[in-house]
Amino acid sequence: MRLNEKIYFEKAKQNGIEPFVLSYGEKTGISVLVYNGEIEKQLIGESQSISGRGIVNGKVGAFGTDAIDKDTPDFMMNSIVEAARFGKELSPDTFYRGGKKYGRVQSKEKAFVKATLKELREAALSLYERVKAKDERLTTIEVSISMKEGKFKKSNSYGVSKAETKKSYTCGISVVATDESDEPRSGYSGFESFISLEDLASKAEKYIDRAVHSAVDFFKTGPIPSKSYKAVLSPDCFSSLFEFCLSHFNAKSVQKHLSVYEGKVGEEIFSPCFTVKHTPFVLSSSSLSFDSDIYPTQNFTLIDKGVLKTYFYSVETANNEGIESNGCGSGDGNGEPTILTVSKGRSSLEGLFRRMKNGIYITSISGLNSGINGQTLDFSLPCQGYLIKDGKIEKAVSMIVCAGNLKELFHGALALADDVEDCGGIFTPSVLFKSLSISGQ
Amino acid sequence: MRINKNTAREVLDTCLATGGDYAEIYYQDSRTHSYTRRYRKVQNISSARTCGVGIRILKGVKLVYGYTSDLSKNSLLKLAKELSQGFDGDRIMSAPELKKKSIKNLNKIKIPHAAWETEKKIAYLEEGEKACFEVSDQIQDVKTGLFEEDEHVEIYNTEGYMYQDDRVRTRITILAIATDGKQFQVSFKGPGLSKGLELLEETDLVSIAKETAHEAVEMLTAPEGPSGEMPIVLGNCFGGVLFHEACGHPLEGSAISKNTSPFAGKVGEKIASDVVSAYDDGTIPNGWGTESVDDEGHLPTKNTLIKDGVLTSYMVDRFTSRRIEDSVSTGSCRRESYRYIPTTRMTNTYIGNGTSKPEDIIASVKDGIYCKAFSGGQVDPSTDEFIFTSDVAYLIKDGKIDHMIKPVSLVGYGYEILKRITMVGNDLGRAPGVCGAESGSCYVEVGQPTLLISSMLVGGKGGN
Repeated sequence: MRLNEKIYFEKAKQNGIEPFVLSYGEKTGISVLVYNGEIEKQLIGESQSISGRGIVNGKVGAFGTDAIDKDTPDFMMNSIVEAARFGKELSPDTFYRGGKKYGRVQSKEKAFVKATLKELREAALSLYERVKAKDERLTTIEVSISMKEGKFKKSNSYGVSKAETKKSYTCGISVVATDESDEPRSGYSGFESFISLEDLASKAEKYIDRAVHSAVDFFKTGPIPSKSYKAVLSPDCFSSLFEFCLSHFNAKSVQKHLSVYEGKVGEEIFSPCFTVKHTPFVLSSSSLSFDSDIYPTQNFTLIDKGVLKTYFYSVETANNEGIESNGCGSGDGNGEPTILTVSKGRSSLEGLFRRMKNGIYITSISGLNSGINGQTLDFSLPCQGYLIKDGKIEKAVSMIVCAGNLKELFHGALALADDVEDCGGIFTPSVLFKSLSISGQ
Repeated sequence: MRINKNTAREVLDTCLATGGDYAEIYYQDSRTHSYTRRYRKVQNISSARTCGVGIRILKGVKLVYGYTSDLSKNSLLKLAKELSQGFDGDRIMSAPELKKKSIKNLNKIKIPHAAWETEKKIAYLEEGEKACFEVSDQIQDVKTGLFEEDEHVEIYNTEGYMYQDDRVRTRITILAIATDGKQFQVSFKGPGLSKGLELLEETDLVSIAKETAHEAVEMLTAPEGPSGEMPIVLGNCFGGVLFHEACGHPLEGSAISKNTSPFAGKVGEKIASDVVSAYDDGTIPNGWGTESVDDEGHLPTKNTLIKDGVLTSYMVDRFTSRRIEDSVSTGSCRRESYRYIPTTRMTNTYIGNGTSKPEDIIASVKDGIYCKAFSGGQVDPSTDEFIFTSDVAYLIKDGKIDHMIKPVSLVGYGYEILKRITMVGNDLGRAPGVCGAESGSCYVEVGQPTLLISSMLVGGKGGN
């Protein structure tokens, strides 16, 4: 890490900013995009960022930038002092004073194999050939691979300091399939759970199939009659919806009376088939041993057999209730999880279909940026998937809209499968629900 | 100019070492200030600065891009050399001497952001907050915000030109949250323009705040909306998000150049009903999506996309134009920041005025929905399947607006919906938004007059 931290802390003290927390990060990355068999785009990037936050005369101010030069310390302090003139009142106790032990993140650092841009190009071209061989109706194929490395550190004027390094690969496969009998269909899949290009090659098959099938299976498909169906949501679809509930577990939202789960600790809020744990140390690109307050992250149960056990606390919101933080600080007193794991069920995905007997299997949901009301958790979203008849996939269906309320939906889950996937910070299996309203024909 | 002219030329020349036929340096220095009131007090005042350089080299239909926040000469030259190694080949050209090119400032401002003390800005927001709370005891919380951006952009390219543009934007936001103890409902308004603080003086914040609060409260007792196919009247202003999502994105060069848009190869063909004419106009003075020069050094244009139902043009940038026959840049190359590879993006996109009166459009519908305001949408440009959500919607019965319903989603295919527009009003209005796509989040305006779509799929919770 290239930064001279000392000067920032000295300047903070000189400006009456006490306590003060400094965050610094360095990121580098390379990526390539193959378009129809040719390397179309290559990217090399590096950036730094720095932010400071502190209390001046009992009020808090903050500033962040990626322009770091000799003037940055003074510019930062002046900005913090000005912002704090009108900032919210904040106790110095909301800054972590240390004393707790940090857990150990299951790291893939040692096993991670870095690649050069040339190696990335070759891997992407190879992957492209594998996708192309899958179906002759694929008229557009794009394969992207990125490798990123990030180092970041947080320190505060109470002497607490913690740093971590993250290395990760991501891969995306986009296809458009064309069939004379119908309009083009598109498909996509993305994944990041690989530690080398060799690992990528060995794990890619499932994701290639997923991208290809999400396009070619949907020719000449259409909607099904409008009514309520039993429904299985794929891990990706379930996690996309579940994510919208998370802000309601933020202790700050609860304390401000803006959470639909206020006062529900100890009550059954989800179906008893759900147990959800906070698991910040599991092997994942999202894992972290400390939160935004530099407080140690920790394992705990959020929902036990449907019963809410706690909220996501920062040091600030924990202080408000006279309890200890559970390491979920995400900035400005808010709380959010590092990684959540939804406990898997006993049956396979096919077993869930058999249990459902007749219903719908949702594999893709879109419109998430506008189709969910984050406050009420009402949703109305276009989706596609497969009609299940007598426990087996009968046909693909598209141009349907699922609608309802997430609170009610999650209370009505019947069972979970054993097909857990890492969906970007949420590990979850597929979930069977007793009723989902579908608008179609 | 912030980058030394000789340094810029040396960097560009290094870029061209392996056969690149075009290179550019994009410099950005953006400063933002946000002021937020929530829970009846100042919640947050924060500022941020984004500053860095992006370097792009084109070679035919391939590109390499790199970015750095280290602005030293050595860093820029190192990046240029690394990027040039992305191509195999011999030099075909050298970087010419750079000349500064003057551009017309389309976004003249009257009151710079620094002209008001922070106290005055907060007091302004407090007025809006107060007006919301006065509407009803059911208003649980109000979040008011002021966003200011002062961005300085410079572009140096191997056509031998240097450009600079100072982009000033101001936006006011109001979010009202109402509750009846059992449920929460929210309503949002967010006027914004490429203006300074004169926007605050020109905006009737109290009226807007009251309207926002009324809508949130009314939603508490609104029944669920219906589902199924039915006629839809789209209100003006932000109703234009339909055209933005369903037609604007598929008309961008990125989709057209790869033949992944249903509109690819259809210039000159009828793609919409006769009453539809549509534009992407980056020249509107002080428009939220207006920039005096685009992010690769092309001047913005008023681009007629559809004229009387016939597709007349696409939106194209330098790179995508290389795959589109007979195309030239339409001044549409944009990016969120120096960290993003720029590509074709919309600016201020709208359906032009028609001749119908809005009240006649409503009167023509026996049973349908009037969608007054929208919270956003999304499209898959390759299939043109879109969704957008109307968060302020009313049921129409026997040609009259009957009652409010809870938010509904509208879905369909853009190319089908364009043909189902049967009436276009004479009340064109535009509204600001933030569009997320390949080159990040860009400020755009959407717009349209009130219009009637004969049939659309509605996904309400209330059933058929």
